Amino acid sequence: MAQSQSNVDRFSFLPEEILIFIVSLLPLREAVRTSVLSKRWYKLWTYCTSIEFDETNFTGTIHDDQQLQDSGQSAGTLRQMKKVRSDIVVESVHHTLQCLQSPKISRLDVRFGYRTRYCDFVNEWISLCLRKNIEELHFDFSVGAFHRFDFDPFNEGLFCLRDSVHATGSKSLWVLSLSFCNLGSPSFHGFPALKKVSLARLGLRKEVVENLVDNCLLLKTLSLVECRYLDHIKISHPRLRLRRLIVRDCQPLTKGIDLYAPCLQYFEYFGPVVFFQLYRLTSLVEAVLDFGLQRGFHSVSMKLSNLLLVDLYRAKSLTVCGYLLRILPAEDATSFHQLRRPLPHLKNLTMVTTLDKYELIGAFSLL
Amino acid sequence: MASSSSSLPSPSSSSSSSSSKKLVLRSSDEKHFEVDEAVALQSEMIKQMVEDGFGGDVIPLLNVSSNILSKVIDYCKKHVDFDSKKKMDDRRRWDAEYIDVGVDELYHLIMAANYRNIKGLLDLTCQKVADTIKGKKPKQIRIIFNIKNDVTPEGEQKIRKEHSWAFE
Repeated sequence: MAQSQSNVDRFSFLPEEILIFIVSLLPLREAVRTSVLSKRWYKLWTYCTSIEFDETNFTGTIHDDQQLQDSGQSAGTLRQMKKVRSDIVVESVHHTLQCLQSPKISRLDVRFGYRTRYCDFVNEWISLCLRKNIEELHFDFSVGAFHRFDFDPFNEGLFCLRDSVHATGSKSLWVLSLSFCNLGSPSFHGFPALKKVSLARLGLRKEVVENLVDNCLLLKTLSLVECRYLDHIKISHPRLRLRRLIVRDCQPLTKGIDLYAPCLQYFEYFGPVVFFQLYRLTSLVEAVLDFGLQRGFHSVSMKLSNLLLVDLYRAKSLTVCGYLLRILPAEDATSFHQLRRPLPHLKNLTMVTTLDKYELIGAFSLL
Repeated sequence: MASSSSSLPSPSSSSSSSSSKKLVLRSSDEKHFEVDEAVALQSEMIKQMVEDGFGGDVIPLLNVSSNILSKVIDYCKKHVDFDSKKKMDDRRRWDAEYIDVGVDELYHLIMAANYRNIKGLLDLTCQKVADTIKGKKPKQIRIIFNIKNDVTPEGEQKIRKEHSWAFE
């Protein structure tokens, strides 16, 4: 861009709300950097309302104390040499939130490897955000997690949401995304505005999902990823307007997935074959079925051809895996014939597979 | 497209559809612009004036010079077309070309968009400033925007230390 021809510092005399708007369009790190430009710019960033921190953008060691001790050196000496990366993140988030002057925080998105010593900090951030009418809250505590935990979702080392958070609630929060923490015993009664919920890598009882669905009737998108202790997903509230449902690698799902969702447009499932009961998916546009975790024949007393024919009958776009293609011709001859022209609305078919002679027949029956 | 004040309204400045209602805008240097009402109403300020019954007269824009005003009118005209067609890619391409201007012109466009309350143009111009700042060192930013540095080196050092995570 051409430099200013005149010698006047015009931009510093733009109305303050315009300068704040410009600074808030920058990523937080760059917004904070504008504070050294001049006195006029010094405090502008403190009116930013979207706060994001990602540990992977920080330098420092990722070792924790245990590993340091194992390596034979005292934790203290090594930490003096190089600070633990997640410590820097937590200090920076904390200090940044304290600097903020705007009466509102619209979005907090923080990713770092959680350690028990951060518990009070995180709780304080959450209370602050709820007080300041937060709209989007994203916590991902899983950075480097697989080095430190044998994934046990009720491990005491995980961050646990306090009951007071559920009690306080928020009427403004509409996006909630949590990864690698302990939900405690949540009630979503106080969060009626939630539209987009993503829960990943955590212990999730089926009651929690039911509680969410019963209390948050505005819910449009629900994503459950690598959740454990989840034996049954039941979503059937008559007034729920759920549009997108993503279930990836949730276990054990012994009772399968029960879905009554007339507004659902997108359904994605990844995991072993489980029992599906899908009713009235009358708005369905796209479905993705990937049984990539299934080994051998599945033991569920349900024909996958029925799943396609009856439940996902309206899909315009379908993505299937090699397992489904192999199992279709094997199920029995009748379903093979039924599947001759099975999906009248189908426009796009994506097959994630390496084709061999068995899968070819399955693919043929879909086309 | 600007015409001198003596030949008001200039027939050459009218756009293709002659049937629609016209408004006359006057820039700070006394030049007159005749535009379709729909184009002028992209500005919330002008919309308010028209609603308050000032639509029949010449609308004076005291803070906007004729070269900036004609550029602003270009934007509003194009976006009236876009609003009816809704082609996002075309719009983005046109916007990118439109906003490829020098710092001084950018400043005046921001002021005009703010003063006349044209949200789309304000978003576009402010985004351009943000994109220009992105990825640059404070020193470079000061040079581009001619920002007078009134922070002492010690003061700057203190800020950098306080928010060291952002200056790594």
